[in-house]
Parts: sequence; structure tokens; C-alpha cells
Amino acid sequence: MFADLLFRLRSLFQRRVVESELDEEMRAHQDHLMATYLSRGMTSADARRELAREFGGMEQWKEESRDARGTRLIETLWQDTRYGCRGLRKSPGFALTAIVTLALGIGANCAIFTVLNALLLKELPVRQPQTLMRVISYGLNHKPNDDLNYGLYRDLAGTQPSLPSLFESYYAADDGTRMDLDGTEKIQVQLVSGTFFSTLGVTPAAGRVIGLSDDKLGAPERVAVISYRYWVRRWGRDPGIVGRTLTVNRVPLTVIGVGPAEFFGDRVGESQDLWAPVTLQPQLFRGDDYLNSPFITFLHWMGRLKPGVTPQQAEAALGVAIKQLQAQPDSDKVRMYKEVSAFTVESGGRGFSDLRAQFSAPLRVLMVIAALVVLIACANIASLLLARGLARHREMAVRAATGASLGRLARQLITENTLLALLGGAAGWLAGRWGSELLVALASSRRAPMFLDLQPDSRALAFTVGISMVTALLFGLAPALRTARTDPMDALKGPATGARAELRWGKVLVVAQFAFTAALVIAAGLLVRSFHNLRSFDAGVSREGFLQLGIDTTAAGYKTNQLLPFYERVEQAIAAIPGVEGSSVGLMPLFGGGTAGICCIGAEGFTTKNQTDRRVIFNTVTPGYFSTLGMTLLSGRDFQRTEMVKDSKAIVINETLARRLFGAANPLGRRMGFGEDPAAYKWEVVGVVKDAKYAHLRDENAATIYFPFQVNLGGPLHFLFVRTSNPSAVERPMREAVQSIAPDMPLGSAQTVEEIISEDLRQDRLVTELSTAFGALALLLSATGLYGVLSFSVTRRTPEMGIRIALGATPAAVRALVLRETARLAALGTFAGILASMFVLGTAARALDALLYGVTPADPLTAASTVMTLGCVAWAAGYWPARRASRVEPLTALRYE
Amino acid sequence: MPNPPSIDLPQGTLDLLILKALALEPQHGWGIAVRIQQISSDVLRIQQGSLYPALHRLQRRGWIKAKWGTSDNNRRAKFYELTVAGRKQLQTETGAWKTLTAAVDAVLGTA
Repeated sequence: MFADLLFRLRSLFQRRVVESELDEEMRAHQDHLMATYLSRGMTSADARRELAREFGGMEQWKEESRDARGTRLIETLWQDTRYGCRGLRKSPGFALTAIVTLALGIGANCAIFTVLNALLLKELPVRQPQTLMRVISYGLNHKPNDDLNYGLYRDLAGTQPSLPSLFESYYAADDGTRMDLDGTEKIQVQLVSGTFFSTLGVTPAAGRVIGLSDDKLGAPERVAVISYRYWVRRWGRDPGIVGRTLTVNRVPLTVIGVGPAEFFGDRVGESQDLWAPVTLQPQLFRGDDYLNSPFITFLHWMGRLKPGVTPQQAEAALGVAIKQLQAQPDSDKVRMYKEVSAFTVESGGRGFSDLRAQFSAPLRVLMVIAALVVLIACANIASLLLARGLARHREMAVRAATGASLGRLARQLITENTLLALLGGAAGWLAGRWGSELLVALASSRRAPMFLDLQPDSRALAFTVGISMVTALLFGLAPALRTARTDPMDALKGPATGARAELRWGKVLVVAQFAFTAALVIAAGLLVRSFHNLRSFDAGVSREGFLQLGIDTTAAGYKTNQLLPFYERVEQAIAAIPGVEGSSVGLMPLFGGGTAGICCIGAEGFTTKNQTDRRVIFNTVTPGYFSTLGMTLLSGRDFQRTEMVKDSKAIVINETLARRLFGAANPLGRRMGFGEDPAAYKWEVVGVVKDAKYAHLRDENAATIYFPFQVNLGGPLHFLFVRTSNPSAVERPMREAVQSIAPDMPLGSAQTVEEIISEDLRQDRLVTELSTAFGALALLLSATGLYGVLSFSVTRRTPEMGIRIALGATPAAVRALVLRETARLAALGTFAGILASMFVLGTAARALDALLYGVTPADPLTAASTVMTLGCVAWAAGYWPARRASRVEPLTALRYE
Repeated sequence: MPNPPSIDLPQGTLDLLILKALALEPQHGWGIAVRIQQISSDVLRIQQGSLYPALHRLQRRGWIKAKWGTSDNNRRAKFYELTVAGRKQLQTETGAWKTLTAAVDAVLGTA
């Protein structure tokens, strides 16, 4: 085996030496024979004849020896490749066009695949990611709960001591939190349990990782591990970082280690800067205790099954444990337990991600769009190859006539195509790496910077090579089929006779191109229409004319009873600024992606079996909120200053909640509260507002309660809204006003509502812009393809045109002749494409829900504008060839023949 | 000089003959041809050039190896010799050949 390899390698790399040695050997042999014959007394002519008979043809044996060396295939391949390179160098225009076209098509695919791979497919860079299991709790509605309560986890572990023997596990905050470091910068912090690093099997690059003893309540030392990326970015790999104290949200933490280079955490899409034990949560959140609250869920749970344990066994054990907890005497905690219906254990090697759900549909759609672009690019290259094949007709015919087998010729063509595809693929790979980074940058927002591990892996490489090979097959197929039918006799007669087939193939390709392009233009059109709808529909809040400023009261150390007086002073100061038309403070940011929910709302006369009907989202607001945000009061009134007290009874509800609770009856003056006992209802509905979107523009209208701004609901983060027609003039004085009252209050940046909305629509804009760009590229490619085929057709028909003109056809009639052909090809493709995409989009309507807004796939306006667009492009592509045809001089045309 | 009656070589036997010819001592291509003709008393007729593809094939399989030396008439020549694997192969193939010929003899009723 080894000898075999060695021999073949030598044959390959010392081919010339091996050949010349063989030559020398055979010559020596022949000389011997000659000498023998001559010594027998033969004449030299006889001797030569005898030699030929005895020895055989030297060239024949050399050829057979090459076969025997077993390197024949590689040698021919090498020869073909060199030949192909020479061919491409000889026509640089063709090569460049083809490679650039391919690089664009393949690059687009690589870029999107790289992002898709990083977000949807890649496993976490930890030990044996395939054996990681996510533990998911299901709610009463049989939908998975997003997060887990801290107490629930501790109690489950306490109830079921056998759990650790079934699987090792960790829990960690399901959100990296932006925290303040030393008062100078914001860092991304994830709270993790003491088993986080050991379960994931992550070994530190320096120091040690957080262990069980670090995560005990009241542990003697408050510790943290920083990530490798943060270590490099902020600390320049300073080895002295271990042991240093960092002050995070005013809590001094000792850095005990640095995570490994490739490790970014267990949340795909984020890169953590620092990990701290979960037990430090109350200190890090300035006294807001999540650990002992039965209502706050903020953790996710991941485990690794012990050998021999099945997911079903783990699920069963958890099911028993939760049943035991639910059987305890009623309390807030037990009510929380009862919201869990079951646990499932699912494979979790790809980690956790919010972005996955958000971007999976857009990425898949973009992938399909990019694939269509590459198909269109292939059609163009196929056209180019057909034209080139025609030019090389004679060369091929001569080679066929001189004995090159059809297989040999085909192999030559395939090698050339593969070479072209690989060059295009390599360029596309580079373009794709750059493009994927651009994509991530475009998809990130200031509020949520996106981090994805875009390092190419074997899957990305396989994808690129695969797509290059597929393109080679696609664009090489028609020309190869054409060449395979080469009849040497036919070709030698002249170039014009063979052109008919090329033209037919060219037309087929153009029709296909237009069909694919129509599909792309339809998709882009639908997305543009959706985006337009999203930008203009009535979201319940005005889309212009106010500012939002985030205020974090924790860092300034405000006590809860100081908040309301503080905001009253702030609002007074702001009212004095010229240009301010109103202001208000609320708990929820606008389109910030999140809402706060509370459960078990009841109202007089409201009965329901479905507990989820009792769940609503809530907001706490100061007077003037509705007018500042441009929300419409449908009936009743706004809050009053005097109602901003702890035991206030006044509430405002939105129309969805009013309809749910009271139907068509007048909701004003009706009583509401928690639970099902009307005696406990103490709130009174004073106003009803129109539905408004909160978390995202795309959200369904959710039942909402507005409470007077009071301190016992919600967290330490608030939002100041200021109505003004001149935001740029108001922003500075507004910040100064807040800081004059609370100098060390950290302020977020003020955003206009336009900025907030455009941030919320970032993903939609990205998809819309990309699909439009791809659509434009497709149009350009198709126009080039059509132009090429028409030019070719006109050139071929020059004599015919000349005769027509000589016989009295007007230039307009000749022009019409060409344009009619143009229209026929374009129309055929366009309508086929529209019908096919309507059909496909119709069947994929569910998947498109995430992307489209207020428009159906079978949108007549989009279809009509697609026809118009493609019609214009076809006309533009056909105009110059048509003009050329109409200007043919009859005499020139006759000479042409 | 009248040619003795000769037969064409059955497929695949050339390799065996070359191995046998090299069993005694290393030989160059011309020497192998001479030896095969000597041993077979000129009955086996091979085109001498066909030795070379066969020699390449046997090298590839690692049964023989080649090195340059000097021939009787002081000319540079490539000498082939059996490797250990080649010697083993010669035994195996000789055995197989004997079995085959015996069987064919039996069928033909000439044994």
C-alpha cells in the first residue's frame, strides 16, 4: 500500500524523470536487440523490421506504462487544467465576466449561509455539545415557558434528591444584562450558577472558573469570570487581570479567571463580557430581589444526562417533583408551581437564542432568494459558454476529427467549467465572508448588538464547494449537451450552420432567467409593500413628535418612595423648556421588545374558564401619558395628579381588554381586581384608550391595563416621554434638566419616536433592502442575458434583415420584428415566473407570516408592477439590437453572406 | 533460422514470468526478456516492449524495485529485483498456477 503510494507520487511529481528513464531503458533494450540481429548477419533494414516485430511500438508501450503507473487520471486532469487556464487567459473578458458573475451569486449565498449556519446550525464551542439537553417547562396552555423561576429550580432540586444522579445541570440568566463598570463603561453580564462552567465543560484560559462554593448565598468573596474577547478588547490580554477587582453596578467583584478564546456563553447572538454567580443578583440589581420572588422568571436551565439515562426518565423525575410541589398548601409559590404543566428535556447543543426565532424565517427566505440569483447567474454564464462554444466549434471539430474521443472532449469542457466554478467559488467565498460580517452589522442595532461566530467551519466549506460544483453542472449542462452533438463534418462546413441550436438554447435560458427574475421581483415587491404598511399603519401611538429618554434610578441610589417626587420635579423642569408640549413618565419603553405581564385579572361580571384570558400586560404612567404619546382616549378621562398614590383606585384599560371583560357594555365605573372574588375588586375603570403596540409594531393588540405611576409595581428603569415638534432643540435642555435635579443619574440616550420605530423595523428593512438588491441584480443579469441572445440573433439574421429592407420594409417594421421576439421571450418567462411564485408563495403562506404585513402573496398590485418592471427591462435590453437590425444596409448584408 | 513453434501468452501470465525471471538475481529489462525466452526454449512469444508496462505495474504493487546499475557492456541500466512481498507473491502465484494447470489438465483428460 505504502509502496504503491510512493511509486504513484514519484510518477506524478517526477513525471519527466520517470518518462526519460523509461525512454532510456527501452532504447538500451532496442540497441541490444539490434546488435543481436546485426551479429546474426541481417541487413540493417531487415534488422529494423525484425525489431519492430519483436519489440512493438515504443510509443504504444510508453502509453501503456503510463496507464500501469496508475496516475493517468491525475495527469490528464492536470493537463486539462493547464489547458483550461490557458483558454481562460486567452479570453480574459469572458473569464472575468463569468468569474465576477459567479462571485456575486456564490458570494451572496455564502454570506447568507454563513449567518444562517452561525445562528441556526452551529453547536456551542463546549465539550460534547451534542449531549447537552435543555430543560423546558410548559405552561398550562401547553406552550413552553420562556424562563424559569429561581425558587422553582431550588425547590425541584430539594424535592427530588435523585435529580443530580440523573443529570448534571446548570441554570443561567436568560438575558445578558448591560451593567455599569467602574462608572465608565457598560458591559454585558450574565448571571450563572456554580455549575455553569463545569456542566458545559469549559476550561479557563487563565485563573479558575466559578464553582459551587462561589454561588452560595453569603459566599465570602464576590467573584466574576471575564470572557476572552473582553479580556483582549478591554484589557489587552493583561495577565494581571486575575485577582483584580472590578466594580460592577457598584458591587466590587474579584476576577478569578478568563474564559477560553472561543467561548461566548450559551446564548447564540450575544457575546458576554463577564459572568457572575446568580446569588449576587439582588446586589447587582440594587436590591431588586429576583431570587425570592415567586413571580419573576429569568433563568434558563441546561443539563447533561448521566450515561444510560434517557430523556424520558429525566422528564418523569421532574414531573413527579413538580406534582409534589403543587400538592403543598396554597401560597404565592404554589400558585407559581401550578402554572407549570410539564417538563421536557430537549437537545440543547446549539444553546439558547432569542434571535433564532426572530431571524430564522427571514434567513430562510433570503437563502431561497440568493439561490434564485445564482440560478440566474448560471443562465448568463451558460449563454456566454454557448457563444464561446460556437467560436470554438472549429477547434472542437478538428480535435474530434483527429481522433480525440467524445469523452475526452467532454472531459476537457467539464474541467474548464469546474475551473471556472472554483475560481468563482473562491472569489465568492471571500465575498461571502465579508458579506456575512456586513449582514450581522446591518442586523445589529445600537440597542442589541449582535454577535455571531462567523468563523468558517467544515459545513461552510462544504456549502461553498457544493454550490460551486452545482453551478458548474448547471451552467455547463446546456453547452456540454450542445457540444456532445458536434458533428465534425457539420462544423467544418462553417460556423453559421451550427448557430441555430445555440440560439434555441439561448432562448430557453432567457425564458428561464425571466421566470426566476419575476419570482424575485414579486418577493421584493411584497416585502416593499409590507415594509411600507409597517411604516404607515395606525399603531395606536403617533409616529412622530416625541422623544423617549431611559432613566435608570438604581445606580443613583434612589429609594422607591423618592421616585415620584423626583419625577414630578423633572416634569416641572421640562415643562419650562421652550418647545415642549407635554411630558410623562412610564414603565414600558416604546417598541423595546418587551412587556410586563400580570396574571389573574378579574372584573365584575367577567367569568372565564381560560386562565390565559386573565393574563394582561400592564404599564404604570403619570398624567399626560396618552396625550404625549398621541394615544386616543375612546371614553372616560386621563389620570389626575392626585391619583398618583399607592392606594389609588383609578385605572385605564385599552379597548381589547374592555371588549374582553365587558363586551359591548360601558366599561366606565366598572370595578376590577385580582382573582375571582368580586369583593376583592377595588380598582375602578376611569378611561378606555385605543389599542397601541408596545413591544413591537408587528405584535397583535394585547389586553392592557394602565396603572397610575406608583412605586410598588415594576422595576427601577423608567422612560420619560416628551412631546415636541422640535426634538433636536429640546434634547439637550431636557438632559440638563434631569441632571440638574439628579447629577449622578445615568441617562440613556434620548431617541425620537422615528428612531425608535426605525430601530424596531431594522430587521424588516434589512430583508426588504437585501431582497430588493437581489431583485435588481437579477434584473441586470436577465437584461444582459436577453441582450446577448438578441444581439446574436440579429447578427445571424443580418442577411434576412437586409433583404427585408431591400424589399421595402421600413426600419420601424424591422425594429418591431425584433421587439416582438423580445416581448415573446420576456412575456413567456415573466408569466411562468409569476404563476409559479404565486403557487409557491401560496403554499408557504404560513412561513411568510413573519415577513409580510398587510399584504397577501397573491397581491395584484405587486404582480402588475412586476410585469411592468420586467417589461421595461426587456424593452431596454431589446432596444439596441432592434435599432441595429433596422439600420442594416442591404448591400452590407449581402456581402456578409 | 527457422522459428520454433510458439504460442501467445495467456492473459496475466507475463507478471508471473517476470517474477520468476527475477527470482535468481536482479536483471535489467533486456536481460529479463532473454531469460524468459531461454527458460521457455523460445516457445513463449512475447513482444519485448510489453515488459515495460508490466514492470511499472509490478513496481506499483511493491513486488519489485528498481535501481540503476551498469550492464555487462558498461552501459547504464536499470536493474529490477524482487522485494520480500514479491517473493511471497511469486510463491502464491506459482501455487495457484499449478493448481490451475492441474485442473485444466484433468478436465482435458491429459493428466
